[in-house]
Formats: sequence, C-alpha cells, structure tokens
Amino acid sequence: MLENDAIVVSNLTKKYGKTVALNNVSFSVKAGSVVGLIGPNGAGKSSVLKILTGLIRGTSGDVSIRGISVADDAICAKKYISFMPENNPLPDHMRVGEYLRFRAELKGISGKKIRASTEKVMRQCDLYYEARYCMIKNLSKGFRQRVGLADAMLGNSEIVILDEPTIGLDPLQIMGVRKIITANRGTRTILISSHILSELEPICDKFIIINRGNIVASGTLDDLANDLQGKRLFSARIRGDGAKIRRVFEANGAQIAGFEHLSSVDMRVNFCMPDEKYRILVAEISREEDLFLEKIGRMEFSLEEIFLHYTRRCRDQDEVWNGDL
Amino acid sequence: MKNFWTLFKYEIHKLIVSPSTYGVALIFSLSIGAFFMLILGSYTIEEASIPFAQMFFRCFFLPTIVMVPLISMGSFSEEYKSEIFQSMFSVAVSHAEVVLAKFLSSYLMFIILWLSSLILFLAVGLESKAILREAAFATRFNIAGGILFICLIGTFFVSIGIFFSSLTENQIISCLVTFFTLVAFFIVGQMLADNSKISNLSLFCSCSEPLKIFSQMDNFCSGIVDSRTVVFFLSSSVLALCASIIAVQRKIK
Repeated sequence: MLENDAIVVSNLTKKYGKTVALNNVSFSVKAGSVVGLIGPNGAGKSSVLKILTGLIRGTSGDVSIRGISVADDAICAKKYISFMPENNPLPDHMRVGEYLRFRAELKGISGKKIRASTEKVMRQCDLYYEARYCMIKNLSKGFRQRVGLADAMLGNSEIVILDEPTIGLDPLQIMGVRKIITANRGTRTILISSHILSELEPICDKFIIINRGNIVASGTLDDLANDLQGKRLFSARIRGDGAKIRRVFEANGAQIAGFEHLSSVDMRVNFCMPDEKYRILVAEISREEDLFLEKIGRMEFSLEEIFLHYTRRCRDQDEVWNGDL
Repeated sequence: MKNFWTLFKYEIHKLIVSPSTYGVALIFSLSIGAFFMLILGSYTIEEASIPFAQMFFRCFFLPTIVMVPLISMGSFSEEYKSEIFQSMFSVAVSHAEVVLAKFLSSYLMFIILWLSSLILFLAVGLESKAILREAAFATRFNIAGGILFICLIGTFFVSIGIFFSSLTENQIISCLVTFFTLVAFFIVGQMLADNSKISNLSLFCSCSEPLKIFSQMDNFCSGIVDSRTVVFFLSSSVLALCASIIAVQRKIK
C-alpha cells in the first residue's frame, strides 16, 4: 500500500443471497485526487460506495480508509469521510440551515465554527440566499441535491464520496458542482459515481470502470485510451449505399462505434480499428466504384466511447460464453 | 457518546414538529380526562375502600397501550423507509447513541403526557380543597407513587416499542406488534394475579411478582416500593434496548 493512498479496496466481494454484486474488486485512490467510478446500472457502484462508508458490509475482502479497516473500526474510518448517497435522503421536518447545523455537530465541528462552516457551504452551493430558511420538504429536486452536496462538503473530511451528485441539477448548477470539486482538488480526495460521463471527463484525474461487479478498466483517460488493444478511433464521411458501407467496414475488421445518415447518400461512420489495418481499409474503399470517401481522420477517444468499449466488450464476452454453452 | 446530545435534540425536534405527536397528545388527554371524570363521578367517599388516586391510576394501562405504540412506531421504521438511516450512519455515530436518543425522546414524551394528567388533580383540588383533605381523596403520596410506577413501567414499554420499530420498515406493523405485546403483557400479569395456584409455586412466586401489574401499582400508590419490580423493569428495558441495538446493526447487511 502506498503511503498516500486514501482509499484501498482489496479483493472485495459482496453477495446478496446468490447474486454476486461485487466480484473480487481491488483498487486504490490516491490522496488529493478526483476519481470517477463509472459503470452501467446494476454494475455495483453503489455497493462499493456503501461498503466504503460502512453502511453495508462486504462478504469478503477488505476496505481501508487512511489505513483504517472499515470492517474493524467503522466509526473511526467514518471520521475521514463525507458521503452523499444516491437518492439523497433528507429529513423533511427541518429547515436547510437547521439540517446543516445538525450535520455539522455530528461531524464534530466545534460550536464556534459551525455557523461559519454552514454559511460557507450554503454559499458554495447557492443555498444561502434562496433556501437557507426553507423547509426541506418544500424544496425541488435540484435544491435537495444541493443540500446533499453542501452536507458532503461540510467540515474538513479528507475523503468526499458522492453518489450521482448531479442528478436533477440544471447546467448552471452542474457547472457550480464542477467548480466546487475543482476547488477541492489536491486538498480532499473525491470519489464520484455518475452515469453522466461528460460531467466526469473534465474533472476527474482517474476513472474506474466497473461492470457486473468487476473492475474492467482503471486509469487516466489517456491510459484507458491507450489500453484499447492498440486500436484507434476514426471518423469517415462517405457517399454511397449504407448497407454496403457497413459491409466493407466490417469485412476489414472495423468496429463501428457510430453510424449516422447525414443525407440519403451521405454517411458518417465512427469506427475503431488497429492503426495497421486502417490503410488497408482506405485502399479498399477507394477500390469500390460506388463508394466515394469524402473525408477520413483520427479522433480522440471520449470517456463515453471508452466506457462503451469496455462495457460492450464484457457483454460480447458473455454472449460468446453463452453461445459456447 | 459525544453525539448523543445532538441526536437527542434532533429526535425532540422531530417530535415537536410532527403532527402525529399532537394527535397522540390529544387522544391521550381526552381518554385520561374521560377516565378521570368517570371515576370521579362514581366515587363516593363513604363507600370507597381505596383512595381516589389509586383507583384512577389503576386505569393507566388503557391509555398506555394505545399511546406507547403510537409514540415509538416511527422511531426507526420511518427512517428505514425514507433511507435517512443511510445519511445518519454515514457519519461517526454509534448504533447505541442512536437507539438511546430515540428511546429517551419517546420516553420523555411519555413522561410529559403522564405528568400533564396532574393538572386534573390540581384542578379538582383547587375546587374542593376541604373535601379532599377530609376524605384523603388523593394525597400527594398516592399520586407520587402512581406516577413513579408509571415512569418505571414506561421505561419497559417504550423500550419494547423502540425494539419493534427497529425490526421493521413498516410503521403500522411496528405499532400493531407493540400494541398486542403490551396487551399480552397485561393479560399474563392479570392471569398470574388471578391464578394463585400458579403464582404461589415457591420458585415462580418471586419471579412472577413484578408481572402482577395492578397489585404492584397498588403497592406503589400505598408507598411500598418493591425492589424486585424496579430491578425487573429496568433490566428488561436495558435488555430490550440492547436487542434494538443488535437489530439496527443487523440492518447493515
């Protein structure tokens, strides 16, 4: 274990009856980094986060927060953590300011600092002027999310865990969340789970892709892109029959990531293939009389494409195995 | 236990702003007022063998078996359902702190409601001081003994309510199970008191004594405090609270 690892998950398995939610998952998060935990629905993201915060127990394996095992001493480990759960449950009978004061007391913020701390997070999350005295039960979904986020950011917890923090927020508020996370980069370790990959891409230093209870990839965006078995992403604009274009691409080993009809005869194809086969494909298209290659070029992989690649690969493997059986 | 006070304040706040608290208080006040008036109406100094206060407190079980399930049913069930439990335990609080805060807030409400019944004695006392004094209508000692017994048995009943609330996400189930458990407790106590053959068996005798609720109430009202009863109810309350802590821990699967 590295000295500056804030979170270390080793061989974590979680079973709900016979269902395996997490299968021997291991990863670590460096102190001060912003890490995105991504995966499709039911992949096991929330299970990981709940085990990290001591809300549920793993079946086997170990989770440690700043070197403290959550299974052995959950209360001590929780002192380092702020958590915003996925559906952000809040007590309806309290006002926003009251709730944050209550949470500040539970987090051990001293009496003199409570007012300053709660006001600071309320200002950061745009709650101070609009919702400070509002009853939580009267708040919209977006405001409730902001209250949850303010709670997570309250105090000096070294590790902030956010489960789908931007659900229900408008674009302006999402930018605000990004700003808050960016402001805490380096001083706090932030682990975010989200479905909205475009939000994570600009703010995370590292990504962990989880699918069906397994970590299928992890690393920086560049690491993940380079890890796609030497494949590159290309985009081509071709004039011709759609079915034929598909046939030619697939015959040359291209993995089609997107196929868009720009007009009845104009197609845009995003595809993935190794560098060495790319030239052969271009030559092949040029040889076809009824296909006219207007434009072709290399693209950078977006997080979404990487995510789709890894999660689709798992699905394809499953299909192959099922087919074999 | 450093978070206990914060959690206790939170629970009290929850009770204060909850409309159901006022509903329970209203039901309790109406029923206790009705009992008071009925007993007072039929009470005649000449024929009475026991003081009025003792007779009044004997009826304590009826409001209690309705009030306790209503007070305690939401303690955990509501928070399991709304998942507030998740955010509660995402910070460094212990299960014992949460259980104790919920128990004491419910118990405080139980005590406040019963203490409010003293207003009835006060009102009648102010109206007819002379008669009261003359007929030992309700001496301060009778009233204090009755309230003391209710406080004692209240610890056990409220802890039973908290325990059943910690087991289920459904408030109605929690309320009904607590209600029927308390009813069963009174029936068993009454059966033991009525059936001298069983209760006089030497080994069983001292164990069953605290369960004879009505004779214990009479003893307390007369100024006789049986230490076995005190130990029984306090230790049973601790046991029920420990069971609640385990039930809450078991929710972390």
